[in-house]
Amino acid sequence: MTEAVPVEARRLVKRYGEIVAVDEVDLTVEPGDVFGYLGPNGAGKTTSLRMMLGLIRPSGGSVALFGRDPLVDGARALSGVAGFVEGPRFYPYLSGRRNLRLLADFDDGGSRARIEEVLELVELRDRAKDRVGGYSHGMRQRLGIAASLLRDPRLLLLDEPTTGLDPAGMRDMRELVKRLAGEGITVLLSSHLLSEVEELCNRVAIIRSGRIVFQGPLADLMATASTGYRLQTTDHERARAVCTVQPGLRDVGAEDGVIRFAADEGAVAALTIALGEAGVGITALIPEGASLEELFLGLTEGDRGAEESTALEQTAA
Amino acid sequence: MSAVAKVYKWELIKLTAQKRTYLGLGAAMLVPVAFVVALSLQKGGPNDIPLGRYIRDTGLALPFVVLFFMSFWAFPLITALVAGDIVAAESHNGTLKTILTRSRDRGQVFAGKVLAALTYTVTVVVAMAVVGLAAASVKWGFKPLTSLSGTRIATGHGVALLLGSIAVYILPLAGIACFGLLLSTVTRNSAASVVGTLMFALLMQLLGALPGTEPIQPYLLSTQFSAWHGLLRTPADWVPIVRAVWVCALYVVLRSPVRTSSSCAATSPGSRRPVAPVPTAVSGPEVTLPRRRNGCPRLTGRRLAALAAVLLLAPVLYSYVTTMIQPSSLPLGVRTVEWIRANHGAWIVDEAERFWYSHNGPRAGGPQLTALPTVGLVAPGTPSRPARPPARPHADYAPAPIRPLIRPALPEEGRWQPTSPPFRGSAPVLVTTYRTDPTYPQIVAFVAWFDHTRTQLALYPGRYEPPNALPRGPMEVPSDQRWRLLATFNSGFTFRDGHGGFAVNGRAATPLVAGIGTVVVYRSGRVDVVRWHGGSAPPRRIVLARQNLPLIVAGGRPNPNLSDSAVWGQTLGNAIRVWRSGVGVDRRGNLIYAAANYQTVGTLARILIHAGAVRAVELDINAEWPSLITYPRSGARDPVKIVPNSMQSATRYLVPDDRDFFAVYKRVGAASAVPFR
Repeated sequence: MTEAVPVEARRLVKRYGEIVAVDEVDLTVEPGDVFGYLGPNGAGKTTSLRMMLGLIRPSGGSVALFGRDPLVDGARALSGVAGFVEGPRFYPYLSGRRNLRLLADFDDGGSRARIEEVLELVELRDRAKDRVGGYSHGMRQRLGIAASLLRDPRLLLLDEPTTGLDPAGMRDMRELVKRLAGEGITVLLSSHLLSEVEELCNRVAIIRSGRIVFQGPLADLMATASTGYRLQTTDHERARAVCTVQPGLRDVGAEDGVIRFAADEGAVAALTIALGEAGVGITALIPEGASLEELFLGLTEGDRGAEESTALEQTAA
Repeated sequence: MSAVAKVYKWELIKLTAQKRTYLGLGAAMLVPVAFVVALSLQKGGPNDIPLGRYIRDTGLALPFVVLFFMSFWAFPLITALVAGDIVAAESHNGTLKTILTRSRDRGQVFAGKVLAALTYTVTVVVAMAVVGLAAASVKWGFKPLTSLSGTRIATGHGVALLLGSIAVYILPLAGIACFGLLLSTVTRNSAASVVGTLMFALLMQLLGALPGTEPIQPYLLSTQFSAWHGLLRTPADWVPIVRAVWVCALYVVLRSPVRTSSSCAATSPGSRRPVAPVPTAVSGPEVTLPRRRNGCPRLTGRRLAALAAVLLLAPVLYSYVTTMIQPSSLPLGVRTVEWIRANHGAWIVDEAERFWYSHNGPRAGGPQLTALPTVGLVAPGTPSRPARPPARPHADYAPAPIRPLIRPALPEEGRWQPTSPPFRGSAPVLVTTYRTDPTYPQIVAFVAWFDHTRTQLALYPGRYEPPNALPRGPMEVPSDQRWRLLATFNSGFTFRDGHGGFAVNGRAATPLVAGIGTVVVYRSGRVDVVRWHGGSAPPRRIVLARQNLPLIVAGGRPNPNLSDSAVWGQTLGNAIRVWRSGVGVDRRGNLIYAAANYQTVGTLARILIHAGAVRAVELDINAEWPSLITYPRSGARDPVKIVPNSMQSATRYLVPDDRDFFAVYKRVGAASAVPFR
């Protein structure tokens, strides 16, 4: 029996009056993915996650978690799923441990037995007896992860888990996510931080103004981004001559002893051989062009981004 | 443990972990203690309310009395504080989504919350009853209770009845709690829900008190708060209890569909206001965040201030509303003024009246009147014939006409007119009018004369005056006495203002005060106006006594202190020209009543003297109060207003009235008591 995919959203729409917060979002998270849901603030990430968790009713489309629609199956659709949106919230007048006990009682099965274990995991055991009202932001985020892990989930939905944390806190949180992913948990995390997604995720979706502008493996995105190369050689003139005739190279230009061109990886490999045969030594061959960050900005910003995103969408498709 | 039970358990834990919970609980436990302390320090008691008069007989009575008092707004407020908050607070804090992403369905979570809110309500009421019972029993003992039917109830049975009453009392509170939950779920705003729930409860009361709502009254939640009275009757009256059960159940059920449809949408506080998709200014890895609108409704300072203002004003509003919804014979405007006067606002009213009257005094001079208001049984223009039938020589006496003070006199000015057909000779009640002051020729005095041998004077408590009348009686002319009713007139100041006493049939509802002017009736039927020399309780020979300020006429002369304003009570004093009324006796012991507009206490005394009084007291003043009504036909049919008081109807004393009043009957047989039935 093949298991249904952890997250499958189809033509998901959420409207608030005139405003369309989420516009026909299709999203698929495969088992074992660490899926980055990337977009600027206000792009519709949280709204999408809310619909996935069944907290709000979509205006159109559907969501299935492991094949179950939260709107149809209610709490049962969340079996094996855990997470939080807009930062985890707890009862400030109860201790951390009591909050977890409460949530464990709201779960089926053996959550209660795991309380100490997850507290240990997020390094909150020492403070578990204190009231959550006195916790720092980072501690609350970690408690949020602990509360999610109580459910022994197969899928974690985390809404900006590192937001508001200091660099050390961010590092720890990312380590934790990596570790959980390493244990086989599928993770969908939203973020507006590119570096985070780059570090953690194997697949990404980029959302802008409620629309998905890119979805696919991180490597594809990177490949789309890095199409330019910079070449420096021992013999500038001869190298330039080789480049101009070499098949697969585009947009060749040269100035100040540096040759720039665009090519795919195969053409670049062929070029190095051709240069060698021509007796030209390579001192530097550096892939350059738009970094992921520039790409992200391009995808998510303004009209220019809109145009490019159309082009990219076609590329991605 | 079932899922709902687990949710319920944690709801209770959450309630016990929050300070606000103890606020309501503490208040509920303080109120009965405050009652015990207040009743220990004071003499009076809540005699008008169920079991109120037995409050010092046994500790068992107090919880019932407090139940009654707290039903108006205290318990609804305490219930609203928790029920209105229980969903909204979680929505506000975002914890709702924390628990809704676990394995519990919304229905289970909601059920747990409903149970917790109801548990809290029950706890608060029971805590009040336990504390009240304990405190009152320490003070007044744990003794048998007197039921509403007047029978004795053993202490054990009394406790059982208390528990039963609480159970019945919880029903409408549960209805209010469910309304609070509904608001809490729909608005997701604690302040709005708490205030809205309280307003709902108050609105129910208001609705129940409006005229014309009698058909729906049995189906209002507020009415069900008194259903427990049925348990305290012998035999128990189950009708209101059964009705309370199904009415309250209906209120709970009617809200369920709204609840389920809204509970899903209610789970997303932040999503309510969409985060508008705005182009984001991004520069480098540090993203400058556009100011993000927080979707959660926050308790801003302004809202808190508004809430505080509402909560502070709630008792005032409540006091006003409950005063206005109490049964009364007065128009709303008059009662509003009286309410202000009664609630630390006497100075405002006095200042306003002083300002008004000093700018609206009588005009000196002006055109002469061409005719006087017609009074008595004489058609206008026909010369009167003094009623002097010669048949009964002892009833032959009739007062001399009042000498007109302005020449030429108008037709009938000062001439006594009968108000009824002859009784044992002639008409025993005569009325006339005359102009009192050449300087103010517009002023007309209305005067009545009552033959003391053929009439009997009676005094009845009103609905609120005197405050502690026992028994209060019908508050109107008893229907079985109306066949012989001749006239009614107003009594004195309220007892707060007058510093006088009130006694009827041997019992002093308000202690009599020595030195104060007093209308008295003796067992012989003789009526007199005297300066009181006795003690605070009436001696046996006195049938009734009504005191109001010192005598304004004594020995046929005005009281020499009439210009000393301090003596004449808290309101208005002596010098303001307003409607005033007074009553005195003439040389032969007949009663004389007079009322006129634009009078000072001194000019009122002069009117009474001019009409023949040798001793007199002032009665009530201001346009609302003076009333002299005569009844020309037997059975009090066709009452006639002699004093033209536009704010009171001619049937004023044929329906319950707020203030005490005098009635004048034809004297038949022994007149040794004020007839109450």
